[in-house]
Amino acid sequence: MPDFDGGHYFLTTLIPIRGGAVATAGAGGFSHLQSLRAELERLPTASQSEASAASDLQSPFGRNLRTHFARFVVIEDLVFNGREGDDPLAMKMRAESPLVPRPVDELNCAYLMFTADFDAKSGSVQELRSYAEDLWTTMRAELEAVLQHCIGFDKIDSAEAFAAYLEACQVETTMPFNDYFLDPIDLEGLKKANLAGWPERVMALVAGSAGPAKLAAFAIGAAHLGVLLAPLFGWLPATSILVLLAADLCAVALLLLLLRGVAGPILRKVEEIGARPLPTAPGSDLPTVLKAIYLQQHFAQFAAIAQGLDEETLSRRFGEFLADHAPDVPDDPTQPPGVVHSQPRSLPEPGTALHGEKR
Amino acid sequence: MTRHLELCDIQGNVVRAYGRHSYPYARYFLLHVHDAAAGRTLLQSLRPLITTAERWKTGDPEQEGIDPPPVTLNAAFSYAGLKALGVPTRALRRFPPEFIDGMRARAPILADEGASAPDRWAPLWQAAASDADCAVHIWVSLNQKAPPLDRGPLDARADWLRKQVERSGGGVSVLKGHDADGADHQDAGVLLDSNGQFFKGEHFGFADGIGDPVFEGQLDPAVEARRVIGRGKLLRTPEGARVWLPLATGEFLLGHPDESQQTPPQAPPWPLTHNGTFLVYRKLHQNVGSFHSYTRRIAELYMRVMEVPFEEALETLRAKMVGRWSSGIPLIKCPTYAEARAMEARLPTLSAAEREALFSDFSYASDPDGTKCPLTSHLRRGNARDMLDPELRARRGTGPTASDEPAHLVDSALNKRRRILRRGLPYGRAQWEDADDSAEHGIIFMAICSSLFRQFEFVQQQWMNYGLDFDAGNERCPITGNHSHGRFVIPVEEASGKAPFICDKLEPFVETRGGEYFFLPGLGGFDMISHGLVDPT
Repeated sequence: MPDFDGGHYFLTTLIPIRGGAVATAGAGGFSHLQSLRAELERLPTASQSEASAASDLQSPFGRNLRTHFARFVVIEDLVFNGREGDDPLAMKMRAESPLVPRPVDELNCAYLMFTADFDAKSGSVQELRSYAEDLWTTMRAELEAVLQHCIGFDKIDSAEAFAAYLEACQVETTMPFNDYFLDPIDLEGLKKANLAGWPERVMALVAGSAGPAKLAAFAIGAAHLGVLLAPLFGWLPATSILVLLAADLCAVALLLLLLRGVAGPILRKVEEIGARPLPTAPGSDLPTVLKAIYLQQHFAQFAAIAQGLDEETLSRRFGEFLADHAPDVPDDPTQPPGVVHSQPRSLPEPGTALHGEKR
Repeated sequence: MTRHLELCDIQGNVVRAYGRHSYPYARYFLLHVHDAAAGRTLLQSLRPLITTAERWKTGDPEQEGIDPPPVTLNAAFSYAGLKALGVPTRALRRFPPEFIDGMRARAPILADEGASAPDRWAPLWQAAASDADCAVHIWVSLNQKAPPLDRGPLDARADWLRKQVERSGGGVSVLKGHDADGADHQDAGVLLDSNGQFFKGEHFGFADGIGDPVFEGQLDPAVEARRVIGRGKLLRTPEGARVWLPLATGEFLLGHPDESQQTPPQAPPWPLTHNGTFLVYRKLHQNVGSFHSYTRRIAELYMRVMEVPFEEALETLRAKMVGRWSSGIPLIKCPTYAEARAMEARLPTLSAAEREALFSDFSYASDPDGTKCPLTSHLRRGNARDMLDPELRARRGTGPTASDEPAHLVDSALNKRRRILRRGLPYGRAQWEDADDSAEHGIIFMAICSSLFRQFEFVQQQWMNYGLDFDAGNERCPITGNHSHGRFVIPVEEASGKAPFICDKLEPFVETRGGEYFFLPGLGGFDMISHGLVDPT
C-alpha cells in the first residue's frame, strides 16, 4: 500500500474538470479550465524564494501543521505518441493496411491532479478523511474557488462531503518519495522481521524431504537406466523408450502444476511483504521538522558568534541559548510552516536579545 | 580512435591561454555592426590575422610548428552580432537559448544581483541594453608577446584595427565605455609583483589558472602525456587502477563527440558551427580592500581559536578559502602552514615535472571531510575532480587517509561534463599593500565551453553560488560568491579537539561589471559569416 509509507500519507487524486463555459450573465468566453487555471495562479505559493519571501502572501497549506508538500497540476490531455511502430512483414501477413487509422488514446476530459504528502498514523481511510477535513476547515474558500470548476463539486458543502469527494477521486500512489530518512534504513532488521520464521520453515521442509528426495531420484535414475539398457539385451522392445519419454513428460507436467501451487502463495507473500510500509523515519513529522530547521539556523548562528569565547562565557551564553530556543519543546519557539528562513538577516550578538519567533 | 583535429580551422585561444605562453598583455575590443555588408568586409580584413590553433615552434628542432605571432588576434560574435551580420534565421533559431538570451538576461542564474546587477554594470553595457545602436556584436581580442616589455606592438595592432573600422564608413563602430572613463577598449595583463616581476596570479595575491582542463587533440601527444595529469578526467580501469585521460573534444568544440559519447546538437549548417565553441566574457571587479580587511579581521579570531601566530592564521585562512596557498601549492598536497612553507622553500630546486605534479596531480580521495582542503573552498567548487563520487561521499566523517591510491577508486564522472577552459587575465594595477575597493582592478574572466548552460552556467549557479552538492546548504563560494550574509566553514580533524571554524558574514569580494556570451567560430565558420554564405537549407 504505497499510499502510506514511512509515517507519511502520499495522497494522489485525479479530479475531473468540467467542460464548457462558465455560466455568466449573458457574457460567455471563459471555460472552466481557463477559470481554474486563473484560480491556481491566484493561489500563493509558500515563501520559498527571494521574491515570494518578500511578499506578505502565504500558501493556504501553511495554515495546517500536517502538510509537507502539496501540489496542483492540470492534466489537460495525454500526449499521443503516434502509431506504434510495427514490422511491415508482420502487418502484411495480418493483411493490415498502414493507411487505416488506429484509435487515438486520449483522456475523456481534463483533470486536476492534487497531491499531498502529510503526517498520518496509518494509511487508513480515516487518516485521509481527517486530513481532508483539516483542509476544509482551514482553507475552504481557496478549495471552493479552485474546485468549483470540477465535476461533482457543486454538491460539496461540508467537511465530510469534501473528504468523501477526495476519496472518490483518489488513485493509488505507486511510487512515494520520502525525503526524511537521514540515516540509512535498517534493511537487515526489516528483512528479519518480515521473514520471521520463513527461512526456517523452508529449510525444515528441505531438510525433511532430503531423504525421500534422494531415494526417489535414485529410483527414477535406475528405472531410466534399465529401460535404456534392456532393449540392448532384447529384454524389452525398443518402443518402450518412447513410453518412458511419455511418462517423463507427464511427470514434468505434474511437477510444474505442483510448483505453481507452491509458487503462487510464495509470490503473493513476497508481494505482501514488499507492500508493507517502511517504518516512520525518526522525527519526520512536520512540527519536529520545523523545529529542527529552526534550531539548525539558530544554532549555526550561535556557533559562529560563540567562537573564541572563554569557557565561562560560552557556558553562560549556551545556557541562554537553551533557554531562548528550548530544543526539547517542539512547538515554541519554532518556525511557521511555509517559510525558508526563521531569523532576520542580521542577528544581534548573543546575550543581548536573541529570542526566537513566537508563533 | 583519436581523430586528428584540423588545428588551422580552430581559433588559437581555444587551445592556449596566451597569458601562460609569454603573452602578458591583452586588449579587448567590442564592436557594433550597423551595416551587415560593412561588418562582413571588416571580418574579411581580420581573417588573415586570426591566430589559429596550429602548433607553435618551441625551439625543439624535432617539433614542427609555425612562428608564434607578435600579436594574436581572435574574434567572436554575440547572438545579436550574428543577426546583424546577416546570418539567416534558420541557422540562428537553432543556437542554444542561453546564448540567444545573452548574459544580461541570464543575471538571475548567474547570481548577478545586488552590486553585480546588470543595471550597475560599466557604461558600455548600460548603453548596449538601452540603445540598439550600441549593442555588443563582435568581440576582438589581441594578445601581445613579450619581449618587448612595452606595449608597442599591441598599440600598433589596436590602431590598425581602429583604421579598419574607420574604413567601414560608419558601417561598424568601436564601442566605448569599458570603464567609467569611457575607454574604447579593455586592457588586461599579467600583474607585476612588488619587485616589478611578472606574477601569474590575481589581485588577491593567489597564483591562478593552474588547473585548466586538457582535451583530446588539444596538445602535442608528448605534452599531453605530461599535462593531462590532474587536468583531464579520472577513470577507473578494469585492472583496478586510476588513470588521467584527456576530456572528450566535444566538451570544448562543436562537431565532436563529448563526454556523453555522442555529438551534441549544433546550429546548422554543419560547417558554420563545426570547430566552433562558446566564449564567456565577464569583467569581474575585485574588492581587494574588503578582501584584505575581512580576512585580517577573521584571522584575528582564527589566531585566538586555533592558537597560531597571526601571520600563519591569515595565510591559512586565505588558503582554506581558495584551496591553494598563495604560491599555488594545493592544500591537498601541503595541508598545514609549516608544510607549505617548507615546500615553498624547496620550489626553486624542483624540476618542471616535479612542479607540475605538485600543482596538479591530486584528487580528493584522501580527504572526504575536507579537513585538508575545505569541501566548499573555491578550488573544490570550481573543479570537483573526484569529490562528488558517491563512494567518496559515503566516506564522510571517516577522516583523512594518508594516501588516495589505490584503496579508494573513485572517479570524476560527475565532474567531467562541467569543465571550462579559462582564458582570462587580470586588469588594473596590483595593490599589494593599502588596497582599496574603488580602484579599477579585477579579472577579465573568459571561459570556453561547448555548452554555456551545462558547463559555465552550471558551475556559476550550482557550485559557486550554492552549496547543495557539497552538503553546505545555501553557502556560496567564499571567494567569488555573491554573498548577502554568507558563511564558510573550515572543517578540522576530530583528533585536534577543535570545533570547525566558521567564517561568518562574508562579503561579496568579486562583483560583475559587464559581460556577454559569444560564439567563437572555427575558421571555416568565420569565412561563411564573413562571406555572407551561411545557407542552412
